[in-house]
Amino acid sequence: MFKVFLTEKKNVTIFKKINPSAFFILYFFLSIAALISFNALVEIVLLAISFLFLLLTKVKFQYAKFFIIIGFWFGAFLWLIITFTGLYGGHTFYSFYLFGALIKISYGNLYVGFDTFLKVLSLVIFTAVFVVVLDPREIVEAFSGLRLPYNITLSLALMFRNFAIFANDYEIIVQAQKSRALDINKGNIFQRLKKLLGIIIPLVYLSLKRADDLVNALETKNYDPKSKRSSFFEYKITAKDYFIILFSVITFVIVFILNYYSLPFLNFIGVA
Amino acid sequence: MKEIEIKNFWWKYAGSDTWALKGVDLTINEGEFVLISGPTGAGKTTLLRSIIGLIPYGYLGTLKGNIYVRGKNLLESSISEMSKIVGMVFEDPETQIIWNRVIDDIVFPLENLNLNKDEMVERLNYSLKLLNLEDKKYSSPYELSGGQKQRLSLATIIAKRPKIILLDEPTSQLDPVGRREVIDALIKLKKEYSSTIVIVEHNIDQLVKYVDRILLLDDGEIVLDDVPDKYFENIDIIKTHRGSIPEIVELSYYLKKNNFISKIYLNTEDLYNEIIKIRSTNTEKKIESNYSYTPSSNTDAIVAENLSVVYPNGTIALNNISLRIKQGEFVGIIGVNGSGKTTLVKTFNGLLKPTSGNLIILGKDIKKWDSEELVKKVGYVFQNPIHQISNRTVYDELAFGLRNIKMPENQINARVMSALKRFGLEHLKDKHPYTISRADQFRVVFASVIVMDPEIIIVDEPTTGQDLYQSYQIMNYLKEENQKGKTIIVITHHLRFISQFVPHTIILLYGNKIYDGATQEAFENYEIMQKSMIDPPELSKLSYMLKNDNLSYEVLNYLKYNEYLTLS
Repeated sequence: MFKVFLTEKKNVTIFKKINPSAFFILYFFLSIAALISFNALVEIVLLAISFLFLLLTKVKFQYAKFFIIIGFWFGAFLWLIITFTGLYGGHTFYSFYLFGALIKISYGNLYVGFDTFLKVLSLVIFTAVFVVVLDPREIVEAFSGLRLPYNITLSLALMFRNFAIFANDYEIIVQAQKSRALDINKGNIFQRLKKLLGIIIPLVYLSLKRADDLVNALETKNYDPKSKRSSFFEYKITAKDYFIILFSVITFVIVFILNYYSLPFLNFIGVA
Repeated sequence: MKEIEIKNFWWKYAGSDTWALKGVDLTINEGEFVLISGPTGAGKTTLLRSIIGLIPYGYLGTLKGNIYVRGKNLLESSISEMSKIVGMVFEDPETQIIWNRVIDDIVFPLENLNLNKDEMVERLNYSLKLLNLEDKKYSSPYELSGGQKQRLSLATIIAKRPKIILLDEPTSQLDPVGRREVIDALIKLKKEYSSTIVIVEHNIDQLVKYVDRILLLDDGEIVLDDVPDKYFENIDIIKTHRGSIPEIVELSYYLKKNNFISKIYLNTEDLYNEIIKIRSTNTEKKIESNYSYTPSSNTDAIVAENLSVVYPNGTIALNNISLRIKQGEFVGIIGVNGSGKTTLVKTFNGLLKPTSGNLIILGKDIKKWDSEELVKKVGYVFQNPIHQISNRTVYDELAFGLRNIKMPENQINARVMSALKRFGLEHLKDKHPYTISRADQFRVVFASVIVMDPEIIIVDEPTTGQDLYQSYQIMNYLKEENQKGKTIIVITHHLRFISQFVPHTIILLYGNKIYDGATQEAFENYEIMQKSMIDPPELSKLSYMLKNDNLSYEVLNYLKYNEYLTLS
């Protein structure tokens, strides 16, 4: 699923009219806003924005579903962990002993767990939107526009490219080893870990070989980190891009301020 | 003008005891189209790497001698300098594609050359037009076929406007259609751009009639260097050094040796014209071709009924396929890239689950097979040996599957030792499988499947990356297993092996079954070939032409000819 999604042609959407650097700033500030917010209501608004953005990317439903499921389960897992192991205060409405330890389920734990769930889901969806909208090439332009060295931005873009190849190799190796009676889905955890070696060894070897091939390909395509290079695509910053940047910064500032006004409520439920 | 001048050039990779190139002396002139042939490990890729400067600048090793490219001494230059005048296309198109759009990939080297926008636009459009990729400008390279991907690699190189183009087995992973696309592009390049082209290739049947010179390289030394007509007069030397020989050339040589014709022909049409000149249609008695094949057993090995596989992204990989393979059959599955061949065979050993339809393997419904039991009965050799190799020694690699099915160690030892002996791997038994040659790696993986004693053996593209001699060796291994009663299913793009070894062929096209029957009947039926987008082997083309003229000739006697070919 991941490899198909990474290698597919990008859709023409409203986001394509935004300068890649401005789009990155939008992604960055909204993600940070989701991360620092303590207010569940704000998180719900940010989550709604992330869903709206995902809808606007016109991404295929199966890919959208894939990201939502990942975000949901990862978030739900953290919610569960925080609910049972968090040390936040507030009214404890249930407690029990587990392996000799007193487990307290408090309003504070429940609230922070829920807030974390919303954070994770928003972050995953914002990241999905970023990757769905921008080509690796545009990701390079986005970072270059922020004056990041080309070597670093190229490495980042190549990382995305290699994810797809890595995922493909992994899939083939798992099948190849399964055909020699090595099924990593069978056995207890230790047996499975031992079996994983049969997958990891060829995967690492192949990845190193591919890295070597990539270096050769870059060299024969005249890539020289020390030389001056031109750019075929010109991404101009227009008024709408400045508006997007402004919107991103203002959203971030509002979330920051709202955090301050949320303190009495957080205090009330025993979180702050 | 001398484009490339190599003088007494020696190269030894760091960590290796032997020289990969031994005193190579070679001159290639402007506009020449040169083919380099030779067995795997002969030093062909090393020679190309040396011309572009990847050797010595990208690899560690010891060097002697000199290389001049357009008068520039390689040792006084740099790889970035060299890659401005020399372009190189590698074997695997996937490793050369960097970006997610065709346009991005083509302009990348132009940006690296710091060209201005107008110059880039002009070169981009020129490359797209030359390689017929104009309508793919904004496509993702991953949506392209194998042939299109390799044409993109060529377009990327052409945009740089190098005077010299090097190609390292550019068609080895392509189906016959993709191969034809790349060769057509090269012919166009030579005609319109007067490029100097140096190509390394094992599968040379379609290529020989277009090249100006052929070099035979073996063990780091140039053994032969001549124009194609004269080169193939030394067929015994070529065979000794395991160089590639096109089917038509080999047949010409055989007919010339038996005094039927006076010279060796490089292409099918010329040989056909010569044959009809020397034999009159009136004096010949037509021989009816016998297309039938008789399976040795009446028991079914595999029965598929309306089998379909739909991938999660909605791609219909197999569409209502029905087929029947008897036990002890030798079956070939062919078709263009993406036709569903690998998907089909992966359902046979449970690696993929059919979306709908019935599949019976060795008399039992696929749904009722335990996956561990099934892989014991149906062995699968993957295309790239690296995907299956994960142990520290060749011995352990052969024992791997047996250990996974928990066979006692004394029985494992007996089986492995016997397989090592049979496949000539005894001397490698303590070696790390990653350090041996690709041909040996294939034998290791093949032997590791054979030791499991499966009843059905599936082999996916066994001849890719192997030279002609190794390919015949692999096909003979399969034949031996078949003679022992095993059911063999082979997928390959190299149709000469299908034509010579496989009596029963199934042709797939985009998930649909196009043909299921006798191999020669398919290859001599132009309607089937056109429908399935397959270019038949040259001998089959000749046979078809002769048959249409009511001419009989030795060429129609495939069995006799095959005997000659496979024994030689």
